[in-house]
Amino acid sequence: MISLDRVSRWFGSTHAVNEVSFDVPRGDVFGYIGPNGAGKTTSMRILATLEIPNSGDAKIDGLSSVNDPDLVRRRLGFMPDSFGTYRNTNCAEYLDFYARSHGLVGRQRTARMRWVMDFTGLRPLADKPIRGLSKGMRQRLCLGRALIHDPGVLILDEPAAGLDPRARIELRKIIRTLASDGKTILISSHILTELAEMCDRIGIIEQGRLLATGTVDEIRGAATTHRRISIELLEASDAAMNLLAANPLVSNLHCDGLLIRMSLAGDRAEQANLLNSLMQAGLPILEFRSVDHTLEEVFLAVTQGRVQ
Amino acid sequence: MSETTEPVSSMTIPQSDASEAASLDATIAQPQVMLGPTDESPHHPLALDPSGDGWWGFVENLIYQVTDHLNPILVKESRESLKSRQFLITFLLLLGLTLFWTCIGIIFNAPDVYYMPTGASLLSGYYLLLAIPIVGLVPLTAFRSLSSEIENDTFELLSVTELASQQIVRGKFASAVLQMVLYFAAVMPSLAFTYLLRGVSLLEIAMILIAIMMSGLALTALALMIAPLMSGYMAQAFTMLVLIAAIVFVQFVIGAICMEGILYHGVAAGIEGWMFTALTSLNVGVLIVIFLKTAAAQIAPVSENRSTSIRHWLVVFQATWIIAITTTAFYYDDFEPINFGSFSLTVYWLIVGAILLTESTEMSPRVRRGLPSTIASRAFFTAFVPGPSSGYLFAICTGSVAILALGVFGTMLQPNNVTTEPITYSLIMFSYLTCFLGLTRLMTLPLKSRTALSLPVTIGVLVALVVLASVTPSVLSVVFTGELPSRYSSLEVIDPIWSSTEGFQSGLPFYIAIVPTFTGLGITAVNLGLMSDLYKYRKVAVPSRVIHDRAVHEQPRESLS
Repeated sequence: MISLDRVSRWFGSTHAVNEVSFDVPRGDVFGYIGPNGAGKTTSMRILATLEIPNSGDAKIDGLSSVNDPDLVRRRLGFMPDSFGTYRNTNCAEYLDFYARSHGLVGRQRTARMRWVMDFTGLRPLADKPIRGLSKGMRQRLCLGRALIHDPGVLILDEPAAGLDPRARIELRKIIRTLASDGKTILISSHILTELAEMCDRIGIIEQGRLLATGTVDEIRGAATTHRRISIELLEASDAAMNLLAANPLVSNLHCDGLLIRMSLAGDRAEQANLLNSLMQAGLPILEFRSVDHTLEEVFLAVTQGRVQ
Repeated sequence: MSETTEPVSSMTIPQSDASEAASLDATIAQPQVMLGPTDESPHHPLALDPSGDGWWGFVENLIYQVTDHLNPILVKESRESLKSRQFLITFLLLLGLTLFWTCIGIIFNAPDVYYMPTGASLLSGYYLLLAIPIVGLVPLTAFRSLSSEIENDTFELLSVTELASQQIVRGKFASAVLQMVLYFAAVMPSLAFTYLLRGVSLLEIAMILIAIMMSGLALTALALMIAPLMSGYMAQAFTMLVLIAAIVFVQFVIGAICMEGILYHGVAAGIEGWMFTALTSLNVGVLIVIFLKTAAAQIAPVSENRSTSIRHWLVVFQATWIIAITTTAFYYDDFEPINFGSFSLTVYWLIVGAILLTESTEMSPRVRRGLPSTIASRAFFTAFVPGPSSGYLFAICTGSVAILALGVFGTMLQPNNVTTEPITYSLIMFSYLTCFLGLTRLMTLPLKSRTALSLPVTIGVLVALVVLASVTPSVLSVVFTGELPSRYSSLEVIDPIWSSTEGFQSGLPFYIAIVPTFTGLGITAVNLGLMSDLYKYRKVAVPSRVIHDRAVHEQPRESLS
């Protein structure tokens, strides 16, 4: 599992990461969301043993990435947002090198290489120089490199950046598959709809501070005080609009033909009370439903859009 | 595999996209092939096990097992560099020029070549052809190899593997050695040819090869040490210029030794030449280890102990240097080498001590796990613990013991042609070491040792103190007498340059060393009193989680997939 305990990292007067704490249980996919410069990459680099926090500790499977980076690296696969490659090296040589660097020898190495090449679809490109690969193929190769030693924990920093829609769909599938295999995954992305679908839990970070953490529903519930309600009437009714307008908890009331949209302040009980009052008034209601806020709306509600 | 509902599947999409999405789902549903289409093409040879059939299968299996134990960096670098245009051009150029020089040499020596020894003139050309790639190109390639890892963001990916920093540096070094061996191989037939032409002995050829090889190795190690020193385009350009300057200097020195000393004065024939070669190789060999350890320390995680093993090798270098000095003194029955030894060790420990003063005051729990814990081990090994205070203690103790031992050793042997008693000279050198390093520490104590400026500032303070001490007697003399001092007096003892010169030329009386020695002892005592951080850290236990994990990983890796 992944654990950050009051981790802080500052560069000069800039607090890149400020007292950030969260845990990701084994087999979970944790989405890390935040605007540019929020501190996502820095926290991921701390976990990946590439940065040292000024205070706090980051742990992978109970091992400190600060004090025991060598042990952490055995169980960690890291995919940075940008990475360099070697000249005069093809995909197979690249994977072979990283397999050797992780101590894989003999048939373990060849077996693992075959698995990674099949898993990432790189088998037909094995002989191709890395410099000639497209962005999507390079991302696959980088993911293959991160998986070559079969790590239990994956840290993926913007893995979908620059990928076409098809590759993004593939990536989403791959991450769910890896999670179902018991791998713990920390992933950051700017494509929030995708994160909402693939992550078990998310954390929202801004200006180095973790503003919210939990499931999408938990954060949605905590971040939004209003529920969006949509009512479809069987026939037009001014009484319905009058009744709703008179309710002090209702705001942003809009009527579009037979469809009424509004915001309701309050929880599920208030939602039930509103439906009850409409029914008692004998209004011809065809459909009454609560429309969830998207992750993008939740993100905008939680963050202020400030940059450091 | 768990199937999740994708938004794409619920949208109305064009027919072609729909069929593509269906085929994609089918592809993804397969257990292994997750990205891209299923591919039945054969795997790349690197992903296949050796067949193991027949004689060639046995050989292939053997090679396969041997390469498993090679440093991964060496394997990668060899693949990269042997395929590179630069290596190919250099190698072919070397072969071509060697052939060209052979032809030219034979043509110009045409009739003489049958009955006169002409090997030496040809060998001088081969030396030049070999020295350019080995002493010039290979170190520059090693420098670029490590610095480009950092520049091109490949070093971070390397850092998150299980490779230790030592392995990375050793792999780069081994790759450079492999290139050197290949260049040697290209010229080797021509070197054999020079021997057949007579006029040059096998010993001379061997000594020239040793000189070129040791220079190339030392410069390669230096290149690896300075490559990660500074980041940024300008800084990298500056460090490369420093390396080029070192290469030019070494080319000049080695050229002079090989051409003048070995080829035209025949030093290889006498014991002196071989003694010089052996002692120099021993010291250069230890220096190479120190350079490589320093290079590895620079790229190691900050939580690691990056100092202790370097300190061990600094002591080893001191020992090999003392061996060289005392052997030379014995051989020539001249004890000036003893004084030179005291002087050189003082300079050595001043520089090393100033660098050690800039070590971080923070000590990670990982380092603290290895701290000495018993009274006896703390007494003997605290100086090897990382940190600026222990670094000062280490430099002062090790340097002083060696300098004073050299002085006592020299005096006990009762030199008869030495201008200054070795003990007097070594006491003065001891006082310079303790005074300058002690004052540097006192003046830089407020400086946070973690700041990037601590190294240049500390070195700057040390140099300023030496310069100040050198000019002060002259300034005082001008102020009080109106003229520069014409001869050495007790006042000039604070001038290290004049004292050293005087020690070698006219001799120094014993009484002149008394005041500086006690001053040095006083400054050392003050410094020892300001070493609270040395006693702050205590050994901590290794967490049980770490012990368990190490025990698990010491066993062979379980089979994967």
